[in-house]
Amino acid sequence: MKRKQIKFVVGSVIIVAALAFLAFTGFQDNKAYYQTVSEFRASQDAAYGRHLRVEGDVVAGSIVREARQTQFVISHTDEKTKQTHTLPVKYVGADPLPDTFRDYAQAVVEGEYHQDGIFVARSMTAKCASKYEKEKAAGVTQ
Amino acid sequence: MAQVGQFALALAFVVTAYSIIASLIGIRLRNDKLIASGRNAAVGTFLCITLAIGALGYVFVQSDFSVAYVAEHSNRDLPLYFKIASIWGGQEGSLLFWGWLLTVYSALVVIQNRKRHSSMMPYVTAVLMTTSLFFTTMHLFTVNPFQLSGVAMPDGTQNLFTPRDGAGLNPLLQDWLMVIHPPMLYLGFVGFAIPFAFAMAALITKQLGDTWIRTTRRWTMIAWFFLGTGIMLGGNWAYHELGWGGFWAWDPVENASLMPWLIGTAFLHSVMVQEKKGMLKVWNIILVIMAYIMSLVGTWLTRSGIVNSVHAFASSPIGNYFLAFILIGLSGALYLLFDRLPYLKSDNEMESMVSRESSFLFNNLILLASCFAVFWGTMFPVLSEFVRGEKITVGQPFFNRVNVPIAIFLLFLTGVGPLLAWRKASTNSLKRNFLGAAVAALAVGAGLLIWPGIRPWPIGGGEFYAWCSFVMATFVGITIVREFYKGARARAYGTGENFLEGVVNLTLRNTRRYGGYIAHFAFVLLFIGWSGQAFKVDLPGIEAGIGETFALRQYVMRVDDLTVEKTPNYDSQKAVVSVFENGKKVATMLPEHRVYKPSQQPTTEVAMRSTLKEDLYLVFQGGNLDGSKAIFQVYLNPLTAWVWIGGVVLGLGTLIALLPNKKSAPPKRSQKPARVEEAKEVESIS
Amino acid sequence: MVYLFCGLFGTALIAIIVIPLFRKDNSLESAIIEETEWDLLLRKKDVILGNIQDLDFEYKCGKLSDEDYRKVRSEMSTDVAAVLQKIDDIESSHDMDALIRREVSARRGGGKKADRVACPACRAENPTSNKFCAECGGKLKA
Repeated sequence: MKRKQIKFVVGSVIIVAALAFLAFTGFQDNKAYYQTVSEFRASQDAAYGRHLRVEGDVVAGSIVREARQTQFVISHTDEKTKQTHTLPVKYVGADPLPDTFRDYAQAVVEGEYHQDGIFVARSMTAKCASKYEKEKAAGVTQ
Repeated sequence: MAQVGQFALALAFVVTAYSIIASLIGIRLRNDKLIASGRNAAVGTFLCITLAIGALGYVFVQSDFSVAYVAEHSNRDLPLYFKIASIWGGQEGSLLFWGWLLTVYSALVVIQNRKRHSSMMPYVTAVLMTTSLFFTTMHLFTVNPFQLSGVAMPDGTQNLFTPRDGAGLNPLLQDWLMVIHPPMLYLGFVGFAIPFAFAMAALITKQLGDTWIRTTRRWTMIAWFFLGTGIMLGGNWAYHELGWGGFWAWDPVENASLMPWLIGTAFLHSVMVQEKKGMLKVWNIILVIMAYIMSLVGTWLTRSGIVNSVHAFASSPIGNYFLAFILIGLSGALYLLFDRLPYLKSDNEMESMVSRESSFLFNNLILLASCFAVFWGTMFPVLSEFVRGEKITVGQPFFNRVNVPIAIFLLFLTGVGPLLAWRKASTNSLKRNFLGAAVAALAVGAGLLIWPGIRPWPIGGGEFYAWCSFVMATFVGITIVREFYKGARARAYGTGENFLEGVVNLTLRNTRRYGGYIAHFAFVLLFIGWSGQAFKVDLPGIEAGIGETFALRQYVMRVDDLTVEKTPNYDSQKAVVSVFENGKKVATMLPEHRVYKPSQQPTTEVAMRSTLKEDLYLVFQGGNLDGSKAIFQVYLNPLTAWVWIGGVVLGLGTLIALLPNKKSAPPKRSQKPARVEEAKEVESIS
Repeated sequence: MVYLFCGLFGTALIAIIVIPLFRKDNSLESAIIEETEWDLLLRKKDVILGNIQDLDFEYKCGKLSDEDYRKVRSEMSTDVAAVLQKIDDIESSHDMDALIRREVSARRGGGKKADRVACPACRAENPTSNKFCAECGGKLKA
C-alpha cells in the first residue's frame, strides 16, 4: 500500500513542480508595477525601463487620434497632498482603442516610460464610471 | 411601487430570519411542525424577494426616476427589454437579482425534498436561508435598490428630486447577449449553494455516505451548465461587441467566473469516484465548499472594486461585508469538515497509476492547479500591495503560459480517462484502446506540418501549442467517436437495432456517460477554435475614403458608402463595405460606430463574415481628424466559429446528461432471485 | 391601494408560515436517520452490481482484454458477495430496530458521550441511568 501511494505522491509532485515552474517564469516575464500617475511621479528614476501599468484619468481635450497612434494625457490627483500629476501617453498598440476610452475616462496604460518624458503604451484598458456615480462619489467625499 | 419593494425586502428579512430559527429549533426539538413552518418560510422568502424584484421591474418599465437606481441605469427611450435587463445592469439590482435567484433555488429545493431527507432538510434550509439573510440585509441597509433619487447635502440630509430623464444603461450592455449573460452566470454562481448546503447538512447530521451527492447531482450539473453557458455568452459578447477581435482577456471579472467553473468541473468528475468506489469523500466536500466560496469570491471581486477591471463598477462598502461573510462561511465549513473527518474514511484505495480512478485524480489536481494559478494572478496586485506596498500585476501572457499546457494535458486526460478500466488497466487493454487513435493523431500531426504548414517551434510558442492541441484533439475525437461506435455495435448484437438507433438508445439509457462524452467532444471542438487564435492576422488602423480599398490575405475590401443614421437612443455612423475574396464579391459588411445619447458613449458595432474556416472581423472606428476618411481595423480570426459551435455542443451534452436514464425493457424473469442466489449468479458468470 | 396590497400580501405570507404549526400529527420524521449501516450496505450492493454491468458492457464493446476483464470481474464478485453476507447478517439477526436506534443515538449524541454507555454484551447504547441493557437485558457495568 505504502509503495503505491508513494507513486501517486511522486506523480503529483512532478506535475505541480512543472506547473509551478511555468507559473514562476511566466510571472517573471510578465509582471508589471501598477501605479497611479502620482505614485509614478513619486518613484522618479526607478520608472525608466520598468514594465509598468499606470492608472489615471484622461484629461479632457488631450486626445489626438491618428490611424496608427493616439496621444493623450492622463492625470491623477493625490488624495493626501491634493496635487495633480499628469503623464503624456503615446498609444502604439495593435488593438483598437476601447470604446470606453474618451475624455474623463479612467484609463490604465501598459508599457514603458521613455527618456523623452512620454509613456509609450502597448495596451490599455479604460472604464468610465458613469457620470452619476462620479457625482455621488464626489458628494460623499465633500 | 418603490414602497412595495421596500416593504417586501423588510418582510423578507423577518421571514428569512424566522426560517433559520424555526428550522434549527425544530430539528433540535424534533418538532416536525416547526420544521414545516420553517420550510414554508423559506418559500415565503422567495415570494417576498420575487415581489421586490417585480416592484423593481415595474419602476423600470414605468421609468420612475424618483428611484435612484432607475435614474442611474435607464432612460425613457430605452427599448422595453433593455429596461427590464437594467434590473441587473448595476450594483444594487444585480445583487438583488443574485439574492432572488438564491431564493428561487431554495424554494425549488425545499419543495422538491419536502417529503425526503427529513433529518437533513432543516439544516439545508438553514444554510440556504443564512446566505439569503446576508443578501437581504445588504439589500436593506447598504445597497438598497429602492433608494430615492436625490443629492446628499453637506449637513448630511438628503435633498430629494426626480430627474427628468435617466442616465441610461451602459451602451456596451445594450445587446441581447447582455440581457441573458448575467442571469446565466448568476444562475451558475448561485446554484453551487445547493450542493454546499447539502454537504453542510450531511456533515452536521453525520450522514456522510453519498446521499448528499446523489440528491444534489442534478443541481450541481444545472449550476455548472448555467455557469458554462454564461461564460460562453460573455465571450461571445466580448467578441462581437468590444471590437478587439478576441473573446477572452483574463480580466478579473472573467477570471471570477472561470474559477468556480474550474472547481465545479473537478467536482463533477470526482463525485463519480465517490459514487462508484467510495473514495475521495473528504476531497469532494472540500471541492463543494470551494466551488461555493469561489462563487462568492467571484461576486465579491466584481462588486467590491478591489481589483481593477474594465467592467465598470464603482467601488463600494459592500466589499468588506462580503469578505467577512466569505471568511466566516469558509472557516465554519472547514471546522465542521475537520470535526467530522473520522466519518469520512475511504472505502477503497488507489491501486494503479494507470486506472480510471487515477485519471480522475490527476484531472482534479490539474483543474485545481489551474484555478489556483488564475486566483493567484487575479489577486496578486492585492496581495503584493498588502505585503510589500507595491501593486504588482500580471497580464494575459502569465495566464496563458500556465493554463495553455494545463488545458492540453486536460484534453489528453479527456481522451484517455474514460477508456481506462477501474482499478488497473493492463498494457494489453491500453494497446487495444489507444494504438489506433494515437497513430492517427500523429499522422494528422505530421500532415499539419505539410499543409497548412504549421511550424511547431520554438517549443512553448503559440504555434507549438496549437499543433499539440490539434494532435490531441484528433486523438480525443477519435476515441470518443469509437466509444459511440463500439457501444452501438455491442448493442446491435443483442437487440438487432441498426447503428443509428443503437447510438440514440445507448445515449438515452446511460445519459450521464454518453452526455459526458458529448461534452468531452465539445472540448475537442473548443480546442480547435482556441488553437485557431494562434494564427490570427490583423490590419491595424487603416484610413480609407469612399471608393478606396484595402486588403488582408485573400480578402479585398472596398468602402462603398459612409452614412449616418439617427435613432431615439443613439446616433450611428455606418460604413458600407464590399468584400471580395480572390476577386469575387462575397459579402457586403455594415460596421457601425454609434454614439449613445444619454451617456454620450461611443460604441463600435463590429461587422463579421463568419465561416467555419475563419472570421473576417471588421471594425469601423469613425472618421479621421478632418472627417474625410474612415478608420478601419480588420482582423482575420481562423477557426473561431468552432468555439461557439463547441459551446453549443457542450450545452447539449450537459442537458443530455441531465436527462433521466431510459429504463431498459423489463427483465424476463418476473421474480427477483433471493440475495444469495443473486450473489452466486454473479459469481458463476465470472 | 399600495397599503392594502402590502397588507394582503403580508397576511397571506403569515398564513403560509403559520398553518403548519396547527397540524395535528407530529410524525417525528426528522428523527429518521437515512444512512444507517444497513442502508449504506444496500446501496453499496447496487453500486457494485451496477459497476459489474458497466464492466460487462465495456468488455462486450471490446475495451478490455480478457485477462483484465476476468481479474476485475472476480474481484467485484468477491466484493458483492461480502456485502450481501453483511446485509444478511444484519437482517437475520432480527436486530433492525436495535440497529436503527443505535444509529440514531450515535449520531444524535455526538457531543455528549458522558450520558450514554455501551452494553458490554451487545454494544447497544444505553442511558447511564440504566442498570440493565434495554436490548439484551445484560448487566451494564460502569
